[in-house]
Amino acid sequence: MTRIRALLLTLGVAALLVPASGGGRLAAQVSGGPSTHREPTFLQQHGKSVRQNATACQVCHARESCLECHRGMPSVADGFATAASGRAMNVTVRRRAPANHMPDWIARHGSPASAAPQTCAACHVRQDCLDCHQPDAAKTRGFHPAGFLAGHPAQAYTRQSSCIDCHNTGQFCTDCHRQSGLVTGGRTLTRGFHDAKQGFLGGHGQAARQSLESCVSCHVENDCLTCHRQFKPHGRGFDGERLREKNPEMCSTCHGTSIPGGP
Amino acid sequence: MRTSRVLAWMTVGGLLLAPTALSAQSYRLRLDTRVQAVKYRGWQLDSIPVAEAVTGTNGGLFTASGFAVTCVAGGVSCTFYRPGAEQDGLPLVSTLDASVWGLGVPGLRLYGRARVGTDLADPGAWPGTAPAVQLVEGYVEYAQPAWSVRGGRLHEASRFGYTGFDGARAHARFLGGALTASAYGGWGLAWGTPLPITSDAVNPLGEFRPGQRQIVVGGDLAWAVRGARGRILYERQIDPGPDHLVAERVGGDVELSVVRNVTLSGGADYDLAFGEMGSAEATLAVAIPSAKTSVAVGGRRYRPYFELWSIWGAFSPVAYKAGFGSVTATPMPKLQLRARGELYGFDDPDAATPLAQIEDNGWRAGLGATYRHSADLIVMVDYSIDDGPGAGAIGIDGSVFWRPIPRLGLRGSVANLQRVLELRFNDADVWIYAFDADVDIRSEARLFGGVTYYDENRDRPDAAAFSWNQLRLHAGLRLAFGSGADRASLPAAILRIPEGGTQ
Repeated sequence: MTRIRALLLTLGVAALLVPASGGGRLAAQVSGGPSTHREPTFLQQHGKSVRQNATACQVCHARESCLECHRGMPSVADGFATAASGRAMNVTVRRRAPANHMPDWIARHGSPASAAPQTCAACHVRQDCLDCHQPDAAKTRGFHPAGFLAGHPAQAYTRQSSCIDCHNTGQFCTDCHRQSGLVTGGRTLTRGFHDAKQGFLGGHGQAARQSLESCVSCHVENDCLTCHRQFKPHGRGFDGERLREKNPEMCSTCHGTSIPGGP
Repeated sequence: MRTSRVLAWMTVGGLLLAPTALSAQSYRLRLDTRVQAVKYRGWQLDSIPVAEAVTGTNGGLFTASGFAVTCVAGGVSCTFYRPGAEQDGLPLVSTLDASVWGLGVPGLRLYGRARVGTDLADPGAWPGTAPAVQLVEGYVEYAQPAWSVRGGRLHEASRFGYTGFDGARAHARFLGGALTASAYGGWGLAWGTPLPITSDAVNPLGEFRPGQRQIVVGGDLAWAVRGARGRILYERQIDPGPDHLVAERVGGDVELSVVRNVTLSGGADYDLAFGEMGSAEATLAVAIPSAKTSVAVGGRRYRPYFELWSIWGAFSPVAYKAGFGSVTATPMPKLQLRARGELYGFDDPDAATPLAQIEDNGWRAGLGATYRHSADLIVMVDYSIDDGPGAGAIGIDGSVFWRPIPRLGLRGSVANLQRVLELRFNDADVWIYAFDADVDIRSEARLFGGVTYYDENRDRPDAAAFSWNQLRLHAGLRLAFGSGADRASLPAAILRIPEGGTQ
């Protein structure tokens, strides 16, 4: 029922906002152009055509056409005249995403971007990355959907996206949880916050190992070490010898100077 | 901390003064100022003497005012959480992003991105405003066609995340750019922030932290040949005090054009410090132009990453694995339909927990549609459902973007989310109504703002249920200056790539 209400509200807002006229003007802006421009992969592959025969492009396009998208690489427009010289009077290029930027692209762009950052740099500038990957405190929602705040505990737990790709867990997650009264701060762990699961404290191991990052956004190390100095927290495959060689400080937190296998 | 502040001010000052001090330079300068009024509410731990606890109709223990309490056998008090006080935040942040070149030495460039922020309401209510001055990036670059070097505050972006450091980076191009190599090193910054790990701002609870900044060294080798691009990476971090390893990883990503309209992309990393596989993912994307349809299928693995100065890696967190698929179709020229789904599960945690069995797998799915009447009028509706460990949720988002005149963009949206939690009685039902606008005042100035109303109810079977209706406001001004005819126009505050959302 509530979703029907949402749909009706959305359509209502849409109906109010649809202009009574103006469709013709808008349609004119996207009409025309050679048929090759309507190929789904045209955006991704047009660079080769430009390099082979830029003169053909210059019949209609001016420098501004290229720079509408290629903000991070203006050199691609070298050789194109500016629109001010009288060219491209009726050509309007609107910045739009290439075909591979499917709706879930934002969630899985990491690997292609890491493999070939120069491809992204053709259209994106550093600011585009840093706006999300180094967000400031006044940034409003953009990446996350509208109801994210209410849904984020589960989405963080089940890795719908990786929080640490953009947020420092101490500065962002823990600080906000502290302000919200959610952190334990080393208090005893019998306060009953996880009240929907009877016996949770005695059987929290599975939940913790599945998403330890969620636990540590509220719990400090001393919460866990209260018991786990005595009860071994290491799971299957734990290579203590390796870690002792790499950095014995972590081991000495619990084992002191008597690190198993140590000298 | 002090060094960072001095670096930030030097960068900002230098970039601002450089255009007037030099005659042949070119520059780009962008200033973003944003403010938002936010509210939120958490919980307040409280307690009563055991003798004051009363038995409710369901047999549980409650306070006299109806809050369910937890009493420990033999204890003298029972605890409960009441709704916390409303928190008000009014963060104001200005970000300067500038690039200056043409300094008399061909190939020399200065780049800086710094921010100044404060909370105009309750200090500390909203995360991220301290310290007041933060240098995100700031470096000097000398570039030649076949190589370049940078020095200053840098961020290395890769599948390892955003690794920040104060140091230098060298980059070389071979075979006309088909092969490139980079190496970098310096004093590291904390994960996901321009602050060092020694900063109090990244350690709000006073946990164990190294006493000094890590030394970061790394490099990559990348190639871009016909239909195949990729990069392999290596990074090592060392605690210089005791000379202990903090992190060491190797990884790589590839993007292959298998055949026309078919792309395979993916990557993986290996944690050399722990001797375990890290995260990995692969996606096969197929475009079917004749059907105006795109399909993507793939899988991903996620393993939490912890540095060795933290104890958390010793708790043996297990990996998360998922398989996913998505379809986008354009049945009519102006209508795009999309669907996505994901099945996921956690590896066996090897933890005997008969007292509290937790779900270990789940699924999520979504359906959506975009009606693009024109580039100036776009209607979007998305439905999502999620069922898995920790919670289940159902949500719907609808929005309308309209540009009545070229300089003005408007967006109205309505959304609903209903959520249940697995570990706490705290069901949420939230309605969100938002309106955003951005005005292109001039080609170099953009004003944007919006209002969002949250109608939210938290449901519990005791007195701790609460209503959390609130209004959130935000506004901003973006200014861009630059020399030369190729200065790009400012991007819209209402993003359209990908559609939806405001910044």
